[in-house]
Amino acid sequence: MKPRQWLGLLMVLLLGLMLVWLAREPSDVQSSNTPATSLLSQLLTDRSQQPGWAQARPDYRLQFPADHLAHNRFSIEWWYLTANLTAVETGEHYGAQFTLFRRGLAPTDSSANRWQQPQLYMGHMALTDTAAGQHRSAQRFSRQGPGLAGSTAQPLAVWLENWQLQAEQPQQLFPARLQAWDRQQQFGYQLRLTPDKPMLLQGQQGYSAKHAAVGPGQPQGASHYYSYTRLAVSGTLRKGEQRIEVRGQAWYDHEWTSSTLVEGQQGWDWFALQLDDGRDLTVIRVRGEQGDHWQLSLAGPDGAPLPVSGLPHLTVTQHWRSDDGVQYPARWRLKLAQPALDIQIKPRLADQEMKQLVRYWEGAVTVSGSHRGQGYVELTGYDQTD
Amino acid sequence: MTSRLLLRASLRSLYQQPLQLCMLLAGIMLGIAVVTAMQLSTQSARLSYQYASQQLASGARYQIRSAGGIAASVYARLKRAPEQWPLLPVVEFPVQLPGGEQLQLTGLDFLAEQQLRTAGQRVFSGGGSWNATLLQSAVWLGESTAQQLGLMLGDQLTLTTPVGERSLKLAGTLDDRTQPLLAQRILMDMGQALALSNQPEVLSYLLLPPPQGSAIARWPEVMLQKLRSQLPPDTHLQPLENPQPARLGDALYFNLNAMALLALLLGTLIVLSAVWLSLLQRRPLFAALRLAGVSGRQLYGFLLLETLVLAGLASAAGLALGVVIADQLLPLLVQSQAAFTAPPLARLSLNWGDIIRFGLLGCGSALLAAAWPCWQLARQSPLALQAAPVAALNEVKRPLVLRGAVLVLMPLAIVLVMQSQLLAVYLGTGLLALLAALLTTPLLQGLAAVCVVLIQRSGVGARHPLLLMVPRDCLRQQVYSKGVMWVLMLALSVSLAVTGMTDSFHTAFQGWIGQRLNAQVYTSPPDRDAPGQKAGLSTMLVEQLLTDPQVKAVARRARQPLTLAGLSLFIYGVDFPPAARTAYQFRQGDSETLWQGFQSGSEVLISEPLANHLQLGRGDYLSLPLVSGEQSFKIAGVYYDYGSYQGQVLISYPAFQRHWPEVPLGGIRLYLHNPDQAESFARQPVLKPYEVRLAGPIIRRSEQLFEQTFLITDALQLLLLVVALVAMVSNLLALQLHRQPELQRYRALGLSRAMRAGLLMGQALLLAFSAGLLAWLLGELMAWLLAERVQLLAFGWTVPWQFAPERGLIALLLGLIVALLAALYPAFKEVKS
Repeated sequence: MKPRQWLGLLMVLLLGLMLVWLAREPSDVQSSNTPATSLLSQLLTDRSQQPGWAQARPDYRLQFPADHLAHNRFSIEWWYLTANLTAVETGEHYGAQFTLFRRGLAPTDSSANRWQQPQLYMGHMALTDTAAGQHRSAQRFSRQGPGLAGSTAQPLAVWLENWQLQAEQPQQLFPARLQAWDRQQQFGYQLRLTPDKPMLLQGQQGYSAKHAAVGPGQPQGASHYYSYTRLAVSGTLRKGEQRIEVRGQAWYDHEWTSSTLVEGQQGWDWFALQLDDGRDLTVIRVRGEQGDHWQLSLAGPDGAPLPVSGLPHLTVTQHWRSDDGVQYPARWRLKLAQPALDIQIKPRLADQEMKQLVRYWEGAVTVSGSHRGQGYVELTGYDQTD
Repeated sequence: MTSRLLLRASLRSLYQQPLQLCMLLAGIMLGIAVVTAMQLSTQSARLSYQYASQQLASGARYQIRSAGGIAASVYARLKRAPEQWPLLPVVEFPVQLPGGEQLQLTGLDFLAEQQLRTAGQRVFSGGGSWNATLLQSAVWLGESTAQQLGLMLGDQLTLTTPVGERSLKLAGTLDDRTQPLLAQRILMDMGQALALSNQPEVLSYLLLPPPQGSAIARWPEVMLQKLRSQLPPDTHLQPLENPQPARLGDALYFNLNAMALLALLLGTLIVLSAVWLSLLQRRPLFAALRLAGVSGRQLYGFLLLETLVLAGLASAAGLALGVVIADQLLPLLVQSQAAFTAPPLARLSLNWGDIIRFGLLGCGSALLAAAWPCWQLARQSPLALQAAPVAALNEVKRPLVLRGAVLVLMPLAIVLVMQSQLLAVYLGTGLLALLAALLTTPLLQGLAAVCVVLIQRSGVGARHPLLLMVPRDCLRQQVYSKGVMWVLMLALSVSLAVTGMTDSFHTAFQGWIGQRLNAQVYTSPPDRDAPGQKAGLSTMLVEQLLTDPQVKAVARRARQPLTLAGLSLFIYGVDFPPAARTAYQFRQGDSETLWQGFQSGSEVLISEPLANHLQLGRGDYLSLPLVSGEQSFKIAGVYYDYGSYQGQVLISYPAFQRHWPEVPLGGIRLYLHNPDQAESFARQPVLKPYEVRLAGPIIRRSEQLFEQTFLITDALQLLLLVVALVAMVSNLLALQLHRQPELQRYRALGLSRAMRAGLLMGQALLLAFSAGLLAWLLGELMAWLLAERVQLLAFGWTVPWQFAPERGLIALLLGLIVALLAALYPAFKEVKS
């Protein structure tokens, strides 16, 4: 080949190379409005149950402070705090709810990698501003990971990122400080919680059956459950840039299980009522196709459990429908034989619905009738039955 | 009629002299290729980092990076801070497909994603349960990549990862049609990705999205300052618009830009040299055309048009070649930052703007090169055109010293007069290089004259007349060969300048880090794992350590972020026991007085970059924003520092505690009586709960990072030299072609093949020697400018220029080798003829 032919060939090759390269040049980073597919929606709808989860046992005696911490061998666990608060300056009422849920993805953790620990945490936080007729709620998620969420013994604490409940003293959970702030919803609280009463073990020594036929060979449906039914609260609420000094009373629950509801059960109505006479009443109604299952407890003014007998008579006297059609009970009449009680329970605000990934109604209530008081009510499973 | 004649003559001439045409095109092509390669690779490396961040950022404006990545515990601590930083962790590393293609594996925390990141949501399709996502090895792959590999959802994909080959399940695909860069990514959950990396506890970087629920889309400066104050030392919050891997990375990019500018100069000279040579060689043809009735004006217009067409073709080829070279350089460039941060996948970014820019550069510089000689040719009479433009030895009459002095002093004057302007320094450097190119001819003339005199006086000339022919022939051919000299001189001087600047920076950096890390043991607080723990060291520890008989001195350190005149920096509260004072070198002042002033607490020390930014010096006053309001502090001294180009302020630790009592003790430096016992001392139980580091490994690691970062400059220098070599070969070949009749005469005169080849080699060596000498001078001058002036203006720190004679000697030797290599082929052809 002559030099000029070589030259021609070289030029053609190089030009070709350039064209090929130009053809594969990518466009800039672009935005897209393709709709999202929610991965999180699978968080609690994932029903795949693996064998190996621990089950609540009636013979298990709760041990503290260990049982204040997470129980990773159980698949579900929650730490719950609700409070009725009054602004020191204005006397206005506020309701506060703070919950951390733990969901285990596997009963054992074989990985040394902390990011792969099979524990997911979900946090819910709400603030009811009764005077303004406003209910704000926030939600967040995290894996346990390298200390992003979890519980520790030293110091005794449970947290999800910067939402945390932390004991002030070793070995005992209360007094404790609760800190939570949500930047998006612009609300939060910094509260100090001091126990007015000792801990109350719910059910039988902390074993809480959620349906009647719990026993060997029967379907599971029980949890371990204890409460601090009356905690004195002082601290600050944050509402936007506003800081409000508050005082009040709170209720704390900690419950863990591997199977809350059994086949045929839709949800529960949970009442945590602090009566003005110093007694605290827990009423749990698990709604089922085969009939409701009830669990009741009563703590005396000194915290000692008092006897409760007979089935309660609970009548829904009013309903409330959320803007997208879910109907919840919104007023009740509750009658008990022993102790003798005939009370009306009324939400401070009708719309205290938690429109989060898990949808439920959780709100501050007042108690009137034979006894006066205040409390919190939780209603779950109404969005599925509607 | 005339135009047709001109066209035909031009085409025939080029057709009959294909080698000549080839050399002209090769010259322009190489010039454009070197500029394209350098600029494109540097620009693409930056964009690769930017794209990689932006692609995942989805509105994030800041990222947090650190040398060696971010510890997972640091991320957890920031997530638990009361400020609720909505940080998103990212881990990235390359993996290989079975076919060898490299993809970037990106690990994201899907839980954090879902709340905060919209881009994360929109790219997912497919599905799978949470168990599959978090607990099994599930991956998301670009849709087109999955199609190419013939993979369906649920199929297994084998990847070569840092921990070996792994089989992973395809859980979903990424929408790489709307986001083409996703075609290069594999997405995984963070936990899964970290399990495949070498460092399961280290994240590549964190992204900071805009504050949620805020009407202000940007983070207020006060919040950014707060975030900075919560970061460990050497971890930086950077805006995403201009992602910088690290401080050393800045210096590297700066060097690369300087090299790219010098490459531009080199490229332009190569084009210039090629065009001139081509015109000179065709003088007899132009004479014939003029005799045939073509006017000077017509000839001028045609020559420019011809140059434009050829330059256009060659520029296109040069652009293509440059793209190919840049494609090879880019991964090296991106990998050079691997020590600082996870490198993104390198992808060249070329747009039409670049193509037009490089095309215009090729055509423009060719036209520029051709304009004056074409005008000269067009003006000359046919008879003058027929005469060869040969310079004789006795024509050397120009006032060499005067010209040289003017040429050197002019750019220096520009630099000194406009010393506060970076552009002026660049301009001065460029001008210096261009004007030095003009010195090549007089220098060659001078050297040749000296050679002639020496050969004649020694009597060697009588025995070996060929030796005398070498310098004389060189002079006769200088009109043709000066282009070769320019190219070689500039390539050598650029290489020398960059080496000089890097060497100087290296020496300064080494000295600085050696002095600064003069303590034996460094202790800092552990990363807290449980909420509510106060970060910081306890004063009890200090007291405990002070009573240890092995400890000579203990120096405390705490820091607080500050904003001074728009600069984000830290003020450090530091103890300076006498043993610690050698760590700081001052610009001026008696160190005894200076330390006394500092210890009083009313005076501060500031780093050189800060002093330069604020135009402050020793004895001036610096106003600091304290909690109690603004307060002025006298500047006790200005110390040299290469740690932060924003600058820093030092104040005595007791004074710092008075002004910022809430800031915890952030670190302790320990000076031991016996430095050899540092390792055993660090294992003491009292230090067990803390982070303990020894000075030795830190210095070694810094050194390693420096070497790795600047490795790429060696590769680029090699590229410049190779281009210069090819350009030289091309020019020498063209020269030889032109000299065929002359060499025939030598043959007729009885010069053997070996003698003729020796003549060519000797001439090449003399040319290279002249070019090398000038390159030595110019290279060191440019190195001085880059180190002493440009670094100061760009970063605020002084890098003392280090003269190293071996650097120049190596450049000279390199020049001679390149010239010999370049002359080999023409000499070989002569031997074979």
